[in-house]
Amino acid sequence: MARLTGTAATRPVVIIGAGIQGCATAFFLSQRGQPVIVLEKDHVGRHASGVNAGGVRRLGRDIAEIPLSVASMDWWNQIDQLLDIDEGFHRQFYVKVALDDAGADLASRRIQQLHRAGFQHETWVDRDQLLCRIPHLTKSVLGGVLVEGDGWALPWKITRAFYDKAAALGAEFRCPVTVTSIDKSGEHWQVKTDAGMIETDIVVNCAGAWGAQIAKMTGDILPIEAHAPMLVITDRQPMFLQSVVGVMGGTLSFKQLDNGSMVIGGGKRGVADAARNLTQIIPAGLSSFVMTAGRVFPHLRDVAILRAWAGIEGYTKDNLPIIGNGSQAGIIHGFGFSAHGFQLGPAVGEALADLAMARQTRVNLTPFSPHRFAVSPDQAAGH
Amino acid sequence: MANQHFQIVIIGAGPAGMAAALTTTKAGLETIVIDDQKDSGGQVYRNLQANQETSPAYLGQSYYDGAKLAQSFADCGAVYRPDCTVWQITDMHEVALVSRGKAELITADYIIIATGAIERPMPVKGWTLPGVMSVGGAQTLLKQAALGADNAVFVGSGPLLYLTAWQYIKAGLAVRAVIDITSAQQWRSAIPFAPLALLQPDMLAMGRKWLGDIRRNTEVINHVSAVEIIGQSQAQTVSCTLSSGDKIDIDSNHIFLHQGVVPNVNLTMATALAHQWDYQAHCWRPVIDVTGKSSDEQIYIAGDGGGIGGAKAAAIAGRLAASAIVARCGMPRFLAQLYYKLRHLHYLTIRPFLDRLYLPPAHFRLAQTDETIICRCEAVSKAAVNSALASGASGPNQLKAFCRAGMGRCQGRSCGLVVQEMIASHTGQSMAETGYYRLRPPVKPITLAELASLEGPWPD
Repeated sequence: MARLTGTAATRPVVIIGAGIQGCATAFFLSQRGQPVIVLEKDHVGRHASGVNAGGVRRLGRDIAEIPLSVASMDWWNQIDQLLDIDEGFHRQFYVKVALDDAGADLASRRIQQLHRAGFQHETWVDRDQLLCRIPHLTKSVLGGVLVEGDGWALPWKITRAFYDKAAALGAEFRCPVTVTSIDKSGEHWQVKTDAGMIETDIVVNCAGAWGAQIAKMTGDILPIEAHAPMLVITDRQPMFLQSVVGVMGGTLSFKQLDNGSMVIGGGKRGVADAARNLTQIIPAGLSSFVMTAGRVFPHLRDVAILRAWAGIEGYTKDNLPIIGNGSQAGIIHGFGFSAHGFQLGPAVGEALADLAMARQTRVNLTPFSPHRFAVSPDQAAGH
Repeated sequence: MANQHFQIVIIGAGPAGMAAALTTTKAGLETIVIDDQKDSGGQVYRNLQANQETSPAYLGQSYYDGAKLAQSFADCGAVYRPDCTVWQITDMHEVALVSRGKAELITADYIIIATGAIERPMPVKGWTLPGVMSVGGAQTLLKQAALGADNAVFVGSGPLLYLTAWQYIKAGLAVRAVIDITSAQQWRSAIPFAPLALLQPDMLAMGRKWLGDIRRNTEVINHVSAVEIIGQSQAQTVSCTLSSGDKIDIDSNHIFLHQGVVPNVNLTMATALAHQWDYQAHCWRPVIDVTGKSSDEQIYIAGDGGGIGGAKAAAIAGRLAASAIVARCGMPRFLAQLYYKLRHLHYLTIRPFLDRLYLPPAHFRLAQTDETIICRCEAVSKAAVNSALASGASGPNQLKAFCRAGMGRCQGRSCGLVVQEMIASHTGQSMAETGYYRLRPPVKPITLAELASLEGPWPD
């Protein structure tokens, strides 16, 4: 195959999946004049990208992921200009509060760990400062770890904006179209779908919870599990919160939208049925993270919950995404974000576009290499 | 805490739920009936026990017909849990409910969903003004609190509208007018089914009596092609356009709208049971067999929630579903089932006639002006829905993300059918292909503390 040297290929790059990673990749490629075709089995932002909690945070990330997250934040800070939208990113602060000594202990160890690794963005704020900034917090809070400039966005709006902008720049989106096989044919790839075949030099796999299925079609065995993290949204309340709140040592994400509704997520999983696009809510799991929300904001006792939902997301074994070249030339993977890929979206889109055009990426992608899970198809079959 | 377990969980204590409980308890099956009202009876026999003390005649004989069933239900031995909100049924057949501020999960071998009907939305201009309410709402106030308003105008069509207007008149309230949207075209399509409807002479006679009494006591306006409600901070005038082109304005501060009822599918859809579009009655209904069994072997649907049939058909449907379950528990009920099947069919003989006569025409099912609110919870106008359609929203769930229609408290109860039909007419797809909102638990809002109570008390 002719090696691309940072210039546009003549055949369109085929991107599989129109979630935020696929749409952002399509956007960056289109911006650089590279023709792309995006194949989506449902519709844009149908799954995790459209229905996640919308956290845009560097806070609390695995150290390996921080450079990518920081690079992405550069894009978030200019997202309105980038995508021609208004109020795309609600830049506030993100804090994980310590509710007990164990939480405070975790917080101090976390900050030390980050300092040793050379990162200063997470800082400790004590109880009084915190209560001053978030007066409705429980009075028993001990303090928290905070990142200035983190915040939230509406997931569907951002995913859709990347789609709109990519489409305006010439990206072609085909949906609903399901990929049935990906086969090497001489120098290029044949992507077969339920709506015809496309020949290409480059396939970018952004298929989220279905990414392992696509990878397998290219000969890469990259095990991920589909799960369905649950969220609830409440009735509208007077505005009281201009930040996103989590807890140390627990899983909670809590924010108040512009209309006064609160979105509460807690990492608790419902039932995911990826084959049928179905999720099911588990009442006990909801109850558990709503209780955590109650420990943080006890004044919300009588606020009504309007809906609970869950999105289908792909999780890797080490909870780090899979981003990088596959085992065969021309195959690039970008999936398995394990429920924290939304904020990474812009930087991942840029990185995947770089890989597709054989350019040097801005961020070192080694920690996310697909090869860390390398299993030959024979080995996989043997299990 | 271990879940409570019952052989039979019945959701809803209207005629279907009460009648089902009579059959299951008689067969010795442990039965619990969960209802969101304070008293049994559902909507049709609402507040019957209290009203029996004074027995106001204006509620009509068909209302007091429920007394025997309600009494048998009270004596039947089922565990009865009023004032509970059922908010989810899981695929493990756990029924999640909230009672007195606490959440519980009750498991069941069999579940009978008997959650009845809701009124079809009637999105005329001004329908969100204070002073406008549904006829069902007006009737609820009459039954529950003996509350009524003089000088009200009833707008729409269908048995519940005529019954309530009749009850108003009998209660001595001055009804200003009845604006009847039933058209000659609807009469023409219904007439061929009139002979079949004659198998229900009592119901036909009752309807004739209501209509006759209404005509004798108030102005009835027919041949109506459009209606709008005018007012600033509250409804002041109903303006109706006749098919002749003439306009009639009627001043009133109390306007009651109604254009039929449809199965309340919120719980059955949120439970992911199979549903189908009913082209005759123009509504969704769960896919059920003749005994009421849904696409889930353990879940039955009885009464109006499975397809509109009215109170008497609902009670028989409850008996039938319960008999089928009793039979599956090893106690054959061949004759009982056959008997209930035949009686159920008999009650339904009037439906083809009524469905055609009172199916509102498209220009009343859909909003006519751009500024008319479609989604009341999120205040989404017809124009906003149309602009979402123009931007490429291709189905009800995408449309939610585009314009927030259907994302409020009522989970689409008051806009779902309207939005669905707007999408279908925009895309040219059928109503069945267009589909409906994906519905999510909690089916009715519950508070954070109520949900958290599965874990423990709310933190102070």
